[in-house]
Amino acid sequence: MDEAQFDRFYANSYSKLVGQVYAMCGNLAEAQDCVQEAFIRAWDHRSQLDVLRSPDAWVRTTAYRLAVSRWRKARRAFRQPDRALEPERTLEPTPDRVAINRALEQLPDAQRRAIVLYHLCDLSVSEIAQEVGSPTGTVKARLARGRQTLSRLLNTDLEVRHA
Amino acid sequence: MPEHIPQLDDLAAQAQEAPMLPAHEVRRLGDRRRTTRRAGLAVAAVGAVAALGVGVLAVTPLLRGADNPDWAASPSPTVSPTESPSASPDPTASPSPTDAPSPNAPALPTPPSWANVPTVELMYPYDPSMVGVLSESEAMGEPAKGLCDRGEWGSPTTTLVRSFGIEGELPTYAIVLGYADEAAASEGYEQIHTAAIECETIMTEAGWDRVSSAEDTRLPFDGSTVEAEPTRAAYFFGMAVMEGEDVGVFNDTLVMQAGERVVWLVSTFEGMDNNCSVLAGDDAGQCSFAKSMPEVLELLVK
Repeated sequence: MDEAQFDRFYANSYSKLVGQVYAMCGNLAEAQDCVQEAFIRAWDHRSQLDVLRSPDAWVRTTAYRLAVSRWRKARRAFRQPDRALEPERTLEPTPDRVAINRALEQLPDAQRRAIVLYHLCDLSVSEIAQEVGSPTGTVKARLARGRQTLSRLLNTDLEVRHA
Repeated sequence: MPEHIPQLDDLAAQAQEAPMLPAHEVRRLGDRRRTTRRAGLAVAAVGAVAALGVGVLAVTPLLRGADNPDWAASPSPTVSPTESPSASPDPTASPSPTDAPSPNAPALPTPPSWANVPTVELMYPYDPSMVGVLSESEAMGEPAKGLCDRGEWGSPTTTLVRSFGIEGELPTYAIVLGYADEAAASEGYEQIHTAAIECETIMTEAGWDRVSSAEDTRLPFDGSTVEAEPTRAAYFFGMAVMEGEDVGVFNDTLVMQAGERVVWLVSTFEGMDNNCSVLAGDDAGQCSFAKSMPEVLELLVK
């Protein structure tokens, strides 16, 4: 991947990937930091991006891993997140955003990740299985359970079925 | 096309507000990271090797450029005639009864197999779903296994190396070594243990600015759960930082012996800190290797 290709990839994917990782980890500032760091690592490892079918998946997986690692360390050390680093919010969160955030928080990490990859990133079950390193049956089960919980918490008619 | 959840789309749309660095700055940081990473690892490898002296340099694949060296099978520079198939037979020598297998000779220990090597679930007990097995090898190979690997682990008769992680990151290693007997295994254990103890000196000499390495003697090891003698274990934490960098390289090492086998787990990663404890129930959380230690010990002797 040369400079021009990387710059295009970065410009086109950054916001989208921050949104996806935010939905997975629940902290926008953390998602932004982790995706930024993942893109820096992506340029460091750019030779690998050439042979990968989806550089988005590489950055997303790396950013998610960073977010989980940071979250664990922060939790272990009982640290408060550095609010000063969060981007300035121009609007108060809407009730819908609060509701989906709370609902996502109720999901186990693996279910939450599967839900985001399927319903937000538009990945197929087999693509999710490949990205998270789990069998497709496990992914289907996570999706079904995650949908069930979300449907109950959001009080929507989200179809509960196996993918 | 999977159905979308409108609230989820709306949530993710907040990222449109997230500021981003200019692309050229991302590339500059990526280049700096690459330079630092390569220089750091090269310094670590060369430094670790340099500390070994000329004798080890002679057999170090890093310097002689071997493609796929088998450390366990490396020929000794002082090959005895009895080990050489080309050695001329001594016409005056008479066959010795000790040359033939004796029914009373002690049986050689069963060599370890891949079934004795820790799995991804044991290496990453908190979340094995995020990583996979990168490679398996029956030789140590070229790369140093962590910051404290001096290339000395005695004379194992069996070497099994399984690496884990994700592409692009520093790998984690599970290494199982089988020896001819308990004494040989003890010697191998001691060499790995000594390298870990001396890691701080080695890394300082190698040019790292801030280095620390220490054994955590609180490790709650119980060797009585398996039928092997001797059993013992040691856990080391290591850290190396280059001045001016906001990330360091961290190293966790667990080495365990059970009879004529040794298992050596090494985790090396780049990051800002490494908060964990060898003790269960500690506020910092128990380190992965310490958490899996009882299962890894049972697996080693299975």
